[in-house]
Amino acid sequence: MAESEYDNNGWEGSVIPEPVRVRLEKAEPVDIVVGVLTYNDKTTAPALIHMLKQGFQQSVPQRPVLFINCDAGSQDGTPDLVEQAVGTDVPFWLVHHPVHGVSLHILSESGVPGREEAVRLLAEVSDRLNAKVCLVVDGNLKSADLRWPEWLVGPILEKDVDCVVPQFVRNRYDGTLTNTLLAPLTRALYGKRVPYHLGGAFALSGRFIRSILLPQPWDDGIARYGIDGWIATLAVVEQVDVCQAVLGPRAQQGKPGGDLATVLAQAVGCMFHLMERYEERWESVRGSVEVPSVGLKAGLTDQVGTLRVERMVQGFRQGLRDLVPVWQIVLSEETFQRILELGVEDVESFRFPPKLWVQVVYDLALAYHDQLLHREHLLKSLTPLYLGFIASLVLSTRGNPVQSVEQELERLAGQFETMKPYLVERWRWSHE
Amino acid sequence: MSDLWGDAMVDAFRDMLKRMALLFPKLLALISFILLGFVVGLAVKAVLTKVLKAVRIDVLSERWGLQAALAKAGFRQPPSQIIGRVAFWAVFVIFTFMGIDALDLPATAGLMGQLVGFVPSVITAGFLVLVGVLLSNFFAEASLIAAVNAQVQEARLIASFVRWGILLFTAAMVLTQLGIATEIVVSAFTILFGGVVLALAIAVGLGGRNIAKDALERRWKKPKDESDDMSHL
Repeated sequence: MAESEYDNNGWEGSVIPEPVRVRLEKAEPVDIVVGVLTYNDKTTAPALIHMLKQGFQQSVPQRPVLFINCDAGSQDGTPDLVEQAVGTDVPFWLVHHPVHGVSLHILSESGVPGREEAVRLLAEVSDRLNAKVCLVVDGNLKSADLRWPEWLVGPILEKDVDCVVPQFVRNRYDGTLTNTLLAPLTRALYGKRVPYHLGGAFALSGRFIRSILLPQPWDDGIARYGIDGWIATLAVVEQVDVCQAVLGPRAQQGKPGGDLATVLAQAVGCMFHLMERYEERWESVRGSVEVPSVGLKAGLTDQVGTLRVERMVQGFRQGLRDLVPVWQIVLSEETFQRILELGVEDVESFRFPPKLWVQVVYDLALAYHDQLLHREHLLKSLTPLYLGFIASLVLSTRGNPVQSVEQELERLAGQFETMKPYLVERWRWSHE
Repeated sequence: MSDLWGDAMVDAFRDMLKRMALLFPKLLALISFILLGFVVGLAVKAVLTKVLKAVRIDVLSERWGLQAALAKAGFRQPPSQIIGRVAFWAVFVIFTFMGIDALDLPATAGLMGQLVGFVPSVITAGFLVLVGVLLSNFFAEASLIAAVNAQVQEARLIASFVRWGILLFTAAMVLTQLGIATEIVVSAFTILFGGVVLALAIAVGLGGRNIAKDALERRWKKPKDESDDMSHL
């Protein structure tokens, strides 16, 4: 077991602010720390707290719970409403976590600035209180269920699991970036089939926090690319027990900030950044295994929102017209040639082969690693290619049952695994 | 008569010999300086090229887009070789000027001093060119990608405007730094820049009023209608 970054008796290296330190010195040990992250969430956070409180009373009534509201400086009175919702029968702390400049320009999935600081603070408080579980929940969620505490915390308390990651039930074309890139790449790299649904809620064991999370270097990259992707990756990189909790649909107040290119650059940048950090861990991994699951039945629903496929194809077409000099630098010659050969005259017959998509993703990871281009430019140049692939996926499956989308995504994930040697060989070659 | 003629001839011959005797070492010094400049220039070029290759200047230049910019300007060789060649010629010219100074001709007096006095301006100008080219590449690339992602049809035009705007600004700064026609450069730049802005304003205000209106409406109204309600994450 690795030692924690700070001395348990001192405060060196700690991110805990002074008022919380005073509270910690007098606090009783608890089993469960529930961190609710908020930023102007007065319409959702109080109901969420009610739901969680009741859920804990039902599922683990004998376990002492501490509610902590990490607020990023709400102007709408969220902390007061949260405090009222918690009531006086359960311990409650309000913490204003610091928001540093680096994370301000890109908001996290939850819309809470400085989210990485809040999670770090919660992890440290949990460690100091010797808590068995730390549950982190976004204050903007509207779809929380009474059974969430049982599904998220239960596996850690009862089955000795280290990390419970969420899986939400999505519409058939929702979460396409996750389903076509983030999750299959994580699976191919680290050998565990986790859903990679970022944000919402996740739970960490005290052991995981103490021996894995806190000793890690918390560099600027974590803040820039987002804490959720890092924790999800950490859970599959390290030799720990991971479990997924299928929590049902995810409804939240407001959409994550940023345009598609920014969201894509943040999420994919996080993966590529961590690929460099953990390169020794993923190079030798072959194949993948399922992780245990609790909660509802996983899968996509048949609902389809408004999709404008023509606009997606148009985006790809424009990339093909204007971004050729950039793609020529970041893609391999073969990939670039095959992209140029894709016909975009007729929208209905437009197809972007999954194998080519995997090759594009691997080429970009290598270009990121070799720093062939300014990294933000490189990541954002992926947007038209992503739009092209998503358009092709929708066009080839929209008349079919939802199972065909799931099968297509599974085939794609298999393709990521099959083509991993392509990535590994060239990654090694770039070191020589 | 013949004595006078003889004396004049002898004096002239003696004078010429004396002058030749004085000029010959200076000519020898000039030739030596030229040869030395050639040899030292080659040595500096070889060392500099090797050092630049060792610090991967060619790879970095390609990454920063400098290589592409040089290729567009007609320089096909890698930057390490270009810098090496520039260094060779700089050394060679300095040695040659030292040789010319050694001739002690009234017409070339103080040539070396003037040259040395001009060196800081040249170095600063070179640095300005380098920074200008790098910045123009970076911002042109950033604006091109941003415009393509926003599906703006004039993406390449916008990127070209950004690139040439920065290069124009750099050129004005470099010429001012070198002290070449400073007033004309400043005036030309002001007139050109002001003219472009005025032309754009008139074009938008008169000729393209409706187009500008449509474009603004597209920009502010359409995204609400055209956005998909799919979540990517």
